[in-house]
Amino acid sequence: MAHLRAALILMLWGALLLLGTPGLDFLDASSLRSSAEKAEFRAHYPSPWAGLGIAVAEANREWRLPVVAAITPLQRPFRVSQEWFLYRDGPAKVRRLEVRVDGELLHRSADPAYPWLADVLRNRRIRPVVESTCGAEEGPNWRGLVRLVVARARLERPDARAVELRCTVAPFPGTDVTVHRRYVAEAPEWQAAPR
Amino acid sequence: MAGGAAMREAWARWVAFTGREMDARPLALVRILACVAILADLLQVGRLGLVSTLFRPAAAGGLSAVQDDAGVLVALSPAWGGPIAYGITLVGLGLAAVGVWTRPALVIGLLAYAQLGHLYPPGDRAIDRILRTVLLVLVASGAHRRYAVTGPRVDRAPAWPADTVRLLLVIVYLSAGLAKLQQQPGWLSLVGTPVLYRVMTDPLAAHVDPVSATSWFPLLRLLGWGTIALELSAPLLFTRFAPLWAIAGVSMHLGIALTMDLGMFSWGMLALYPILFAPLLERRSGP
Repeated sequence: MAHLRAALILMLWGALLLLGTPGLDFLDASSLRSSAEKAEFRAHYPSPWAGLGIAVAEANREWRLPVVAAITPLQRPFRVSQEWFLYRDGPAKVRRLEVRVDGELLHRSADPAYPWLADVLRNRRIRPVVESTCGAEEGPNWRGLVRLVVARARLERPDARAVELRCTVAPFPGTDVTVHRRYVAEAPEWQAAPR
Repeated sequence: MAGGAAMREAWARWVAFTGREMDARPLALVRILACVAILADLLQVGRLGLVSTLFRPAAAGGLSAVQDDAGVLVALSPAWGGPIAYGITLVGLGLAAVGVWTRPALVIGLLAYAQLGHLYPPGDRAIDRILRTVLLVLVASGAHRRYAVTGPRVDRAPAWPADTVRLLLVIVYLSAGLAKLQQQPGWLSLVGTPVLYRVMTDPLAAHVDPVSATSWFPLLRLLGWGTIALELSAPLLFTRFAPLWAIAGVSMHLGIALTMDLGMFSWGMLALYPILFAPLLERRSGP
């Protein structure tokens, strides 16, 4: 029994280490695959580190990723994929979301002077949608976000005629602001559209 | 022959290592704290009136246009599958926290919690996956036999689940440290804008004022180096220095909680820390 337990735990630890190998998050099957890529890598990094990096990329492609692909379906019922995507870097610019209802500024990110709906928009489950909506590439859920804000605005202001979400950017420390993206929804249809 | 003997000795050590026991209290504390962290987070979702917004497909009025195809309950009822999964998660993890029908409640609660993640992938973050993984490991531990309303109480429990949680934390923190340096070597820079400045003053995720914080560059640079050092030294969690490392980890997570708005993240990670302080209990108990 002790040996069986030891074997099962060894398999579990092996699976965890394979699935979440530190430092390999950024490598996929196409990394350092072609001869040209390898030559460029060797030109950029000195030996033996270049050779080591290429060996790691090949071992990852030939051995680790196929095992990960085989184990991945087992993780789905409990949604326990061992991918973390933890904080790696801060944003390059100061990004804020502003919400205007009938032209009146009600919400600005991290501005206590405009706190309307801050508890919702900064909730950890909504924040990724705000970030993707105001990010460099237009996120897939901006319609849902606008729909949410419109619903909350109309709840408090039944006579509201227009809701605008404005994403602003500025170089740090954030005093030179430009509008990066705008979404407007207007009565009576309340269909969100980028402007 | 020498190689075979070495392998047999290594295997014997591994069998002994995985057969150890430990004080059951840290395992039970992690069970309770992890469940409470998740429950508090989900109750906050309810308080903000976001259950239907988050846990329904866009076609049924939900926020996210993106779901993955493992959402079973929502396939049965797009409008009610999510709210039902929400309710089952609350009940299951609530029972697991207080120790009633603990292990079945934990499994059912985790399955329902996973359904919420399938329904709303943008809101199912690393901390959700970490806590689900840990609680799944604890299903096979003695965590249900201490600080529980029902069931026989035990003082000692197998240590391998705690060691597995320890391994998971090493992987998570090491990954975080290496990923930081791979993507942004500026974490170790002596000049320029400290990376931690940009992290802590991002208005979308934090609340430190970017203008006034420009006078904090030396401190932020030091804290950035400290973060990298802490994360890369995570393998210390398997040594007698684990409690010391954990004190630094607590400081880091409290700092994150004070300066950023990441919700459950810091509290969820700290919920796992009783395991890191468990060696102190063993030393107190003595041989």
